[in-house]
Amino acid sequence: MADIVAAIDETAANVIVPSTIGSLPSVSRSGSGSLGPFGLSWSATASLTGGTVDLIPPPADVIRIAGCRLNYTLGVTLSLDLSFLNFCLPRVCVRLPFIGRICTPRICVTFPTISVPVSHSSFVNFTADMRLATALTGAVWKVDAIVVGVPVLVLGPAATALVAAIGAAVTLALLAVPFIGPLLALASAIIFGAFTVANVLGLLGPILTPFVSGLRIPLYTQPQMFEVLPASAPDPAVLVRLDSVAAALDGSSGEDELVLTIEISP
Amino acid sequence: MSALDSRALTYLDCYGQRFSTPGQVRYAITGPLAARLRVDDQPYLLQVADQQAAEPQQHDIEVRYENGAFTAVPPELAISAGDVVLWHAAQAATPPYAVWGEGEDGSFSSTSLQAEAVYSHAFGSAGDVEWTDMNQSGVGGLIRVHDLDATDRDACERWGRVLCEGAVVVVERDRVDLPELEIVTGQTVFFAVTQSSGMTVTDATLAIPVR
Repeated sequence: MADIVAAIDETAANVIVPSTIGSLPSVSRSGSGSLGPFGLSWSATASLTGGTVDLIPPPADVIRIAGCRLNYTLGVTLSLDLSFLNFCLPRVCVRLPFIGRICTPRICVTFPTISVPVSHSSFVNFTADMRLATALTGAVWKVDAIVVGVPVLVLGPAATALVAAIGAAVTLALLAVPFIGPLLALASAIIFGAFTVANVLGLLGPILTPFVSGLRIPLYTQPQMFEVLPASAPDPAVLVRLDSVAAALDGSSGEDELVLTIEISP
Repeated sequence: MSALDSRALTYLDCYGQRFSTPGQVRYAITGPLAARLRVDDQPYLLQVADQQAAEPQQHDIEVRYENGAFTAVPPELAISAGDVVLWHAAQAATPPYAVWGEGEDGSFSSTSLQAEAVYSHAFGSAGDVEWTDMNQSGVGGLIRVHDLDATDRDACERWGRVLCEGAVVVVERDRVDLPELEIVTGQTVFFAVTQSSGMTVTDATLAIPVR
């Protein structure tokens, strides 16, 4: 028989776990990638809120959180090399009153590589399974719930919105490029061919999934030496030592619970 | 970088000058500010010979930017009286420049177009461009630049044909023969100055109002 047994039911878990998730600090990541033939760099900041907890005892043995929301802000800077549009203006000749015939040389127009910043904020709901992990780290007992596997993020709507945001930003940027006017339709067809929902999904998935995959939610933290009574002269503080801490999901009582069992010694 | 401004030439511009009097012409190619202050050597040379051809000839000089300085290729050129020299930069990366110098006809400068000078500009963007003389002669005009959608083969061919057709605006003292002109994107306009006390062709939006 354990010295201490503490348990919370699903109702309590639905208070503790979402509130802990909501208190996790925002996380930022950055990197680079590509969208079709175009390079890009990105930075993303994400935070989590909400969710409904379901304690599922063995054999599944997971804490399932459904409807958890990943709020994110994604900044993407696209690098569009427009050199595929390069062309040369022909030699132009005119007759001037005092000179006679005069011709310009052929002028070759070199299109630049333009940087297009796109900012996009949205959220995605997901369901994740978490397993309990207990560890004694630096004389502190910690019980965490860790997301297992790779939660499926439904990114379709977010990808569609991002495609639209990219489209608007790229169109605006293209309009400012000299000599692109007559080539705009051609350029747009080629460029927007790369910005399909499928391509953007392929970009968003690897950016957002790591914010959730392997996520660690701290449920219980306690120093190994637990102060039962504070020092009061002339008596010193009374401490007990937490020799072992174990966390498990249990449904044997007819109700699904998260149970903490602790062995102590003076 | 590609604005309409004869004071700051880019690869989309050409500056031409006719030399009618035999003798030596020394000139410099510098940034626009140095041209205005005339603070540089005049290392380049035109030898104008006293023999006029039936039709004036055109001689092209390429402006290059190497190791932080503008150079003329060729640096020396022999021409006949009445011929025209046209300066142009082939590289888009060439910074804005000006050509200025002195010969038997007097001084000349792309920053102040006087007699028998021509400035050409290829227009890269659609829109209305109001041009003015920054030297306050009062001349000016409007160039309406239209886009042409070159998506299909016919439209491309049509655009290609139009690009070969330059438009000419002649300025004589305070008179502009075409105050308003319509062109398509990519087309070149030649501003031919037959007589002026020294004018510029400058996009009016670049003009800084003086109180």
